[in-house]
Amino acid sequence: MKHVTDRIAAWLAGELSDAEARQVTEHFRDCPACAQAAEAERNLWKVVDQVAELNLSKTSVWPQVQSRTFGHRGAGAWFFGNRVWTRNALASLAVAAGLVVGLVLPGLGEREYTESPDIAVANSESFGFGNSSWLSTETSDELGDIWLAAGRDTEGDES
Amino acid sequence: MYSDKDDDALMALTARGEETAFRLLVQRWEHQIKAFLVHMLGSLEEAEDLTQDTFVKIYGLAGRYQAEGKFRSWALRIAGNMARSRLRRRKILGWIRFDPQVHDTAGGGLSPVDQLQQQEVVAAVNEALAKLPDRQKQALVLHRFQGLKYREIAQVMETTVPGVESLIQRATATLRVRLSSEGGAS
Repeated sequence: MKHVTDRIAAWLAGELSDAEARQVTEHFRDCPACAQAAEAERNLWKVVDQVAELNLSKTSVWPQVQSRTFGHRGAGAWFFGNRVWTRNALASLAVAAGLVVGLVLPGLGEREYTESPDIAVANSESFGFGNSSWLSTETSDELGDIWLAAGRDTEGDES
Repeated sequence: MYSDKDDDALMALTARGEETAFRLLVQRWEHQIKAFLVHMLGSLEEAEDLTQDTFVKIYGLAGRYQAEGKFRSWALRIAGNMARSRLRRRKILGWIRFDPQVHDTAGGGLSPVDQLQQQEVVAAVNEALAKLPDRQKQALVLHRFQGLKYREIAQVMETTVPGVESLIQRATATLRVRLSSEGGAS
């Protein structure tokens, strides 16, 4: 006996001709396996049909289609573009940029005012004076005194 | 102005640059195209983008449209080709989408327990649908969710009626196995 499992979907959908449908129905009387398969498929459709209902917004795509075809662009479309994913990506990028600006820039500001050039020069050991604490100065005017003092100390040691 | 005109007449007017005619066509079919694409892609965001793309393409092809009373089949064919192209790209990236927000599982006066169960069923069905081969999924979505007959599905998918029957039969068998193994169907 030739089973009809490959025709069950079409039979359930009402897609078979009258003669074909009659053949399938008569086969079910003689074949419990195929009858059971038909019942299982009917139950499957009841489950699958639960995803048929969609909760779609009523927003029309016409404004975006219009701008891409007849060339009318709304104010927002010029900057944000028409695609949903473009707008979302740009929004995410704007938030990320704001976070970077808010977190990084204040940190940069502190370093700028830590040292003045004068203090940086006075604290350097490149003059070879060794005891850097003696060289803590606030202004470059005092550097001249340090040079003179260093020169006098050296002369004194040699003698 | 053109609201009483059929799709073929609106397409002819669109080909002559009539914006109002094309707007009517878009508003007449966008919901069905979007629903089809949501079922194919599992993502509302992508479905909205591809709905736009579909109508932009329709506009570009307006001059070549043959008025045979088959605008729906033609539009769904364009949308289906775009969806399958997007799905192919996703497979390369190893990415399957499912947007649970898009399914209306909160209504119907169900108890919280029943709502949760329904949500689980919807999730299981969508996961099984997402894993179907693209052409099987397209045939199934067009038949089951868009209500198309096999003959029209054959036109949309550029195949034969026995070919559609075979696609749907194979899709059904695969779904039955997957959902039975997850306990989603009796």
